[in-house]
This record gives sequence, structure tokens and C-alpha cells, in this order.
Amino acid sequence: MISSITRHASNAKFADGHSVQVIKDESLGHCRTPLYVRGAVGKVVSYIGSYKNPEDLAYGGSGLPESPLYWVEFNLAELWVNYSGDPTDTLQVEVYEHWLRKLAQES
Amino acid sequence: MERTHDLGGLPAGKIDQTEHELTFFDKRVDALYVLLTSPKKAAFTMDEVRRTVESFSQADYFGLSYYERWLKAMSLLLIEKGQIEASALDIPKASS
Amino acid sequence: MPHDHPHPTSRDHSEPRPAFDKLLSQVLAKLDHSGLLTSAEVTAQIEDMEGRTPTEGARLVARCWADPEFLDLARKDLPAAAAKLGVSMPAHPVFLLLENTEELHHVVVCTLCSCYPRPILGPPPVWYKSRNYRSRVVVEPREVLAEFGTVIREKANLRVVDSTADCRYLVLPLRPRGTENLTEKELADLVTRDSMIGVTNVSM
Repeated sequence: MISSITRHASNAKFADGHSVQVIKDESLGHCRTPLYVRGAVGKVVSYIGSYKNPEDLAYGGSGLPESPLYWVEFNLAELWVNYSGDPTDTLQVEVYEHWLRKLAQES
Repeated sequence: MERTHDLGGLPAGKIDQTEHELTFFDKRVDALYVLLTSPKKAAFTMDEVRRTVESFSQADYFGLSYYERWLKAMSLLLIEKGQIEASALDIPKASS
Repeated sequence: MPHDHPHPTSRDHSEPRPAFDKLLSQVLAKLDHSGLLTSAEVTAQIEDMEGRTPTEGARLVARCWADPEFLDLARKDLPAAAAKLGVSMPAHPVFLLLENTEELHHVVVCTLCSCYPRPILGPPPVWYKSRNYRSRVVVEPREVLAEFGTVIREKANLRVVDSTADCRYLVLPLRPRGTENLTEKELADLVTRDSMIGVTNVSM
């Protein structure tokens, strides 16, 4: 289990358990969203907090406004076509809100 | 280009687990990094160092040691920020 | 997936080249001259870094095993727990505990650079920063763990955690069986750096 952190998610767009897709765009400069999850569908584990935007900080900017950051979980067997491990193995990545889009919730 | 540092999922070989003590050079570069990115000094941000390292050629990114990479990036940033004149530093040219 | 691909050899195992030693001297001299950074500050920072080793992390792990109230605190606020052991941590990034259980094993990587819980483990080992670890552990974690001699229990889930942004993680390894009578100090002596990254387990 992950340590709980007590922060208010008032400005967060996605709730725990939401299905999300990582935006597939090429980044134009420094960013902290790894290429290997771009376009992949995952699930929001939880909102972590809001932090200065590294894409602005990297070029001398203030990083403001702060950007909501989430833990997003992916199933490794879905992420990699030839995944050789256990079907329940997962990967958890920190992703900023502007790199995520919500998918319709399955009923 | 942006792929140089973004390594997740790329084909790669066996992991060399040999332990290595940091050299005096490594420790001083490490200290420089921690101090210059600290809120107190704020000469540049961690993200600016990353952005600079990520702009290196493949040959530099993989050819330099970890702390050589950091030192080169910080030197370029100190010049970019006007803290040191370019003529005062002999920055080794990128290998190709 | 791993194959024999010609990659440039890592220089992390060798002394710096003279050109870089010279550059470092130039930078330090210039900064000392301008007053941005004194050599005394550099020396003090090196001393601080040398005091931060996996021993700090191991003490934290042992206390978590031995003291349920401390574990509770570490789950909620890892820096507050570390402070109780005399280890200071900065306000940012966010430091978190990843708790291994019989059912879930965590392993940590930073695929983009080398993010690592340095205040409690010290600087990362060379392999953690290596191209091969960073490339492979997110795509074939069980093979990577096997290289470290680690087999995950069949029923246990594996979770790879990529430290991409504002969080740094300390894995709380599973307490080995048969350690009920050990003192906290003896427990701490069992805890290895690699087990706190998640590439190994702690054993008796």
C-alpha cells in the first residue's frame, strides 16, 4: 500500500478510479511524462497534490499555476504486447493532469 | 531527439551491479548541484539542469559519466544565467 | 527483450577526465569569487551527503517493523518519522513509503533520470542510474529482479513504481520470518539498500 497523504483535491479534475488515457502528443521540450505511457490507458490511483509545472520550470519560468499530479496505474500486460510476467503485474507513474484525458466510465 | 534520456521500455542488456564509490570529483559536483538548486541559492532549478542534460547529443549523454554530465549542464546554465562569462570556462566540446 | 546491442561504455566507473576536473575548478573558483558559493559551503554539503547512507533508511525500516505507532506515522508522514530518528528531510519533493506485503512487492525506478530518496539512502548506486536498469525494469521487471537473485512469490502481485515527478519512494521490505526476537539494531543490520529500492528482499 502507498502511504496516505492528506491533501485537498479541490482543484483536481480526476477522481480515484477514473479511467484515463495519457495524451499521445510529442512534447516540445522538457517534460516528465515518459514516452512509453503516452497513449496508454490506465486508472487513477489517487491525486497526489499540485506542484509547480516542470515544463515551465525547465525554461526559467515560475512553474505557476501549480499543476495537479496523479498516480496512474497501468497493467503491464496491456502496456506491452509481449509482456512475459504475471497478468496482474502493474506499473505506477506520476502524471500531471494536463497529460491526461478522461475515458468514458465502463458501466 | 527527446528519446535520449527517456529510456523506459527500450531494448537493453544485463545490468552491471558493480559497486563504485563516488570520487572526490563526483562528490564536489553533487554538492554543487544540491547547493545551486537549493531554495537558498536558486541559481537554477533541477528542471533546468534536466532540460540541459536532455539536450545533449547521444554521444555526450551516454559517453560522459553521470557527474561529468551534471557539471557540463550546470556550467552551461551558469553562463545562460549570466553568473559566469562564457570565456571563463573551458567546456569540453560535445563528442559526436 | 534484452539483446546484445553495442552501447557506449559507461564512464561512471572511472576517474573524471582532466578536462572535467579543470572545468570543475574553474566553476568553483568563479562562484567562490562572486560569492554565490563558498568552498566552505561545498565542504559542508559534502559532509552532509557523506552522513546520508542506507544506514538511515535501514534504521527507519527496522523501527517500522518494531513499532506499529511509528509505522503509522511513517505511512502518513515519512519526513516526520525520519525526524524522530534524527534524519532531516526537505519539504519537497514528497517522500513516501511503499509497503511490501505478502501479496504485493514494489520495485522503484526513475526511467527519465535518477530520482531517488537521497536524504535517507544517500546517492543512488551506479546500476540504478544505468541505461540497462532504467530501460528494462518497466518492461520485464521479473527478469530484472531475477538478475538480482530475487524471485517474487507466485501469488504476490508486482508493482513497478516509476519516480517521474515530485515523489521519492522508500520501499518498506517485508520483515523476514524468524526475526521476532531480534532487537531493533539487529533488524536494521539485516536491511540492505537494494531491499529499500525493491530489487531484493530482506533475509535472515
